[in-house]
Amino acid sequence: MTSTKSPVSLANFFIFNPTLGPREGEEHKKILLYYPTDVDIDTKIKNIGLCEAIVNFTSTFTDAPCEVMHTQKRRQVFYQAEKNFWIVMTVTIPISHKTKDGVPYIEYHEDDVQDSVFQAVLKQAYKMFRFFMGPFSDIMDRGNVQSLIQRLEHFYYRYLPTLKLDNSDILDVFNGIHFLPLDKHTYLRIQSFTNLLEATFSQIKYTAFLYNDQLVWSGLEQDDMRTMYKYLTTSLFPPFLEQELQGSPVANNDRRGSSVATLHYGRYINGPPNMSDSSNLGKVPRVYINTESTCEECHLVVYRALSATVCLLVDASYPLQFDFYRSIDGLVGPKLSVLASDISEQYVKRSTPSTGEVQFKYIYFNHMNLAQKTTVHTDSKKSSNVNIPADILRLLSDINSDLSRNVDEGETIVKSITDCWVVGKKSDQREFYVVINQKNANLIEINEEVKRLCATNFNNIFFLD
Amino acid sequence: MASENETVEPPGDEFKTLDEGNEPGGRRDGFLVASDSFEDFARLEEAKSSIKDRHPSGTINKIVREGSCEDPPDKQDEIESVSSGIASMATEEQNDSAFSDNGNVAEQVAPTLSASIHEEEELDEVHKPEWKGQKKHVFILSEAGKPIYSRYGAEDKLVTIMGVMQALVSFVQDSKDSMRCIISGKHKFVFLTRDHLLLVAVSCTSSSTPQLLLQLNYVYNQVLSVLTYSHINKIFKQRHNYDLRRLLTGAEKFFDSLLNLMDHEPGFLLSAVRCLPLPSAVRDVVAQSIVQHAKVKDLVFAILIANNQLITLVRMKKYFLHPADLHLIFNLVSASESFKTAESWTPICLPKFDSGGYLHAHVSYLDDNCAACLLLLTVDRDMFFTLSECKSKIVERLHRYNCIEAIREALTKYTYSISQVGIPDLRHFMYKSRSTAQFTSPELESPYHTASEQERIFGLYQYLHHRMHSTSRPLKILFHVGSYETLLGWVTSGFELYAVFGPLVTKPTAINSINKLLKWIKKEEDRLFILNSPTF
Amino acid sequence: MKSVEAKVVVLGTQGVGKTSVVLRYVGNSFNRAVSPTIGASFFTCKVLLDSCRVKLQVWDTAGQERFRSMAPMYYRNANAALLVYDITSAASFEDVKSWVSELKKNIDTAIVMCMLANKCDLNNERQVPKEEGQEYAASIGALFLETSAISNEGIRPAFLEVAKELLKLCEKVPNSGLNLYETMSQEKSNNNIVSPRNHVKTNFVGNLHDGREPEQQERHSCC
Repeated sequence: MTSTKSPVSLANFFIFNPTLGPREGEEHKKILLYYPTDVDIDTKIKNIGLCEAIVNFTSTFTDAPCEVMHTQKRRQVFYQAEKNFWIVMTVTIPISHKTKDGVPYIEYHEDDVQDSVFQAVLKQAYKMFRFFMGPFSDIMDRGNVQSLIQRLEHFYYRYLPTLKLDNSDILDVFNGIHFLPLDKHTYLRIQSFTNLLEATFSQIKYTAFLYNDQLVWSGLEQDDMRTMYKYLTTSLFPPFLEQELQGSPVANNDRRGSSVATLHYGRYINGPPNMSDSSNLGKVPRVYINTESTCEECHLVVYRALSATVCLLVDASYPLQFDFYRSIDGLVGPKLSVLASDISEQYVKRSTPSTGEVQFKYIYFNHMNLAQKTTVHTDSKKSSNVNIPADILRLLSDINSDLSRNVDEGETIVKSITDCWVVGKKSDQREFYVVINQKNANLIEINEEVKRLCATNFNNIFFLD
Repeated sequence: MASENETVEPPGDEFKTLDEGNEPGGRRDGFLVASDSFEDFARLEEAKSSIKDRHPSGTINKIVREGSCEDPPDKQDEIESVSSGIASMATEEQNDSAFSDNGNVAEQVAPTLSASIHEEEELDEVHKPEWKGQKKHVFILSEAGKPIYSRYGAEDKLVTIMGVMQALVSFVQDSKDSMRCIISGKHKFVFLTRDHLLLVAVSCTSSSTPQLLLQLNYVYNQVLSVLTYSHINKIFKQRHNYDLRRLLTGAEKFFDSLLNLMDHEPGFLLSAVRCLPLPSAVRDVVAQSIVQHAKVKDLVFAILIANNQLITLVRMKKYFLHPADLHLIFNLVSASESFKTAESWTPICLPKFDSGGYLHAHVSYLDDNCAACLLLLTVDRDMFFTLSECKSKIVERLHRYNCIEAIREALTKYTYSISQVGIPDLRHFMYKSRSTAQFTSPELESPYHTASEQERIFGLYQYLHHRMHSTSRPLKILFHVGSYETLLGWVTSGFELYAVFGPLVTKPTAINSINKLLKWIKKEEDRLFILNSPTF
Repeated sequence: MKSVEAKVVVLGTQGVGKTSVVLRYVGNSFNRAVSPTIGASFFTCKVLLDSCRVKLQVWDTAGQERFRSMAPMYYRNANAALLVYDITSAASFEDVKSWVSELKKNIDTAIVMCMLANKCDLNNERQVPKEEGQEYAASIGALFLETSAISNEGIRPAFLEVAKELLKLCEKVPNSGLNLYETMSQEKSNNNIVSPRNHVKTNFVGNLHDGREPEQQERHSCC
């Protein structure tokens, strides 16, 4: 008799800096954040003490920082985000209730929690904070411990409940970006559009262009784009779209004062919600980019027309005023609306299913440009809608972590206990995983199948074999 | 287009459908317990609360009772005298104990751990680079944190670090959880808690965490083999703070040699035993000789081994030997020079057989010039002279039939060369028959002739084995193309096969090769495996 | 000729040289790297006295603490005990004393005790004065000899003395567990020492190689 598995859930999440409370009796000063909050101070101090002890213990044997601790019931992931700043995340191991010889017992599914996945989730959690708040040490330098604590609490108390740990998988490891391939002509039009924007408004330091959840063009550093992409696709777009679906204002045709009043569909997602209400500038977050080097501070203005979105990173020293928004709206609104409908024509053509019933699902990732494609997942919202069994999905991460540990190039073909075939290939910074559910196939047939698949779907990408 | 492939696929079709026991080298009636240690292990973990499961005790008593009603060995006596010895030590020890007896070390140590590690800078081994640089440390400590064994460095100079290990473990235990492992870069820190003992491995080898746990479990079994579970239990129940090193002096070499053996010997990983390749006619005569001349009451096992390979095993009906126990016997013999000088009478506990008591082993080499060692294991501790006589008769018969000569001959060539298999693309392989828990594997030859290459290839096998035997995501087939070689792992209900090819081999060639290999093993199975299971 | 068969147990702390002493006597060899005994090793040898042949079955026991509980198995029926200590280790001398009291407590039958103060070649590291050993031996009615397996000192005399005492014991104490019996064999007067190898091995093996009289003997002139 087997009960259903409990989900992976967040047990705790804390950030500490051992140098802040070096003396006995001052241990509480080390704690910068502790989630959940309803924990007594002694427990917090004890848990952080244990982490410190583990970090020190492992340093006796290796200079590599401590990464993970496995216990029967929990998995604790460590990340030294900045010098002396440790972030620790503890997740629960899924359990199921079983009986053996009439005696009930709990089975812990330790293998369901994969280190590489949750290490990636933890790193994302830090990078997301840094994107919006800047590095820990900068905040401390500018203000004091208290200001850092405030920001950490402000950010993480909201961020952590959105983690969806149970749906974390290999995509968190890649943390890649879906690109929209376009014909050269359209692509150049988009580029000249963003060039025009940046030339017209010198305050705009960088721009990025997306269509739906797919990136078309970006002037940001890859790593910043990766974080911003995550933010846009997981936190910004979904509630906005929901709101739109529920029938809030459609076209922004309510324009006055302009001689060439054009009908367009542009509106701000981050920015003034209504161009006729100059008193409401909306919420525009500040973001920190290029933090490894110069650390630039920007306003992140996001503007959308139909399915096309343009992100404008505006120099933070420039005070955002309604006039600025209005002139952008005037320039961008009509142009973006046209671009959006042009792209949509191509988009519809491309996304018509070409192969009919497909026997396989795949995930592709390119380390050089962070390009990612998946037919394993039904959407990019990290939902539980996945086309393959959970264990097979985890098998992909197993192969991924083997390939990333051992080799630059390699190929692994496995047949699972349920007779499902999984192929993982890595070459030239690209990784490709295929799941083929053909029980009676043999290794050679599977190999042929994968070759065909690469030829038809990725003929522009070179693979070994 | 598949026509060309049809001839070679599916892999080893003819073998695939065979039931367990019909695989090459397989039999239904093995003499070794065929359960996989990994699976075993997982089960142990689940049933952790039940000590009975872990220490199946009483097999020995059962045999004694079955054998006769007369004069059961009064084990009580022995334990009595030991415990009185412990009592007398108690006084001297109370002073030097590093930690107080009342337990809660975690509370004392945890908050100040960071400081304490660095206190005894000059004294500690911990600060010597060559110590730190060792690839696989193994530590045994008592529940109270007392050092018992360290693979490298003197235990008494590692008091602090072992105290930390104990503190970490008991801290986690305090929240009704149990520590499994910590990972830092390439280093794995793996913890195994057993009654009264804590075993820790610190490794930067390619062994996976379950593999390291398995190794620690072997080390634990080695402790049991020397002292028995009952003895350890009794001691620690009386004195929580007992220094077990007193009882293990002289046994360190068993741990050392066991750990060295596990670093390159696949038998532990596979939970299987390697047999000395020998014409089956010779093996039969050897077995018959033993059956004829050692038909003695209370003799449980007669085992002939050489160079960590099994030559033959005769057992009492109803009783089976677990490969893990046989590995401990291999280790005992290969680590004990003293057996070469004289006949010995040695108590040995086989934990899988009965962790509660000792079997008594008559140990002797067949001949001065032959590395084959005969062990006669009995439950009767007064049987030395009887067994000594049996041994003489066995040896006499083996001489008469030229078996000793044949064994010596077989031992001169280590195992066999891959070239004998006649498959050019195949570099090396390991094949395990699951029903008999035996495996075969050729010598490691070029390009795997250097120590570092051998370590690397063993690491690849560990990787293959780990993935194939994952507890939650086991695999049937794993085919991996790497930069330096191509690996194939294939597990069926009957066998496990791990093969290494060159990096450029094509898949059809590889599949074709393993089909040929399985045929070769089938052809040679009489020589490579022990297919019958003689009993007294 | 008369024969006596006697069981001898060798006791003492680990590392005092029990195995080395035995190997020196039966094999006339010394190996610095002799490995610790596991459990117990069994040897047989013979001491030829003027009127009698004394056949010794020697249990060379392991000195490690963990085997201590096994010792009764070996001394239970012993007729003689060789108690070995290392003159450079006071602790090993103390341990001999504890062995003596254990023997006294657990053995009812008469037993020949012989103390061997071993490693007497290391006189400059001596911790146990000869007199102290002698006095203690006298107090318990034991023989006492200083020995060295390295320099082959005192070892033959020790076995000879023990053999003589065993013969005496056999003659004087009727229930000593020792049997005196006549053998008819005519001793080949091969005065000495066959190859050490053959000695190290027990006679059971030698027995089978050739049908000859298995036991090898050594002749000692009585002093």
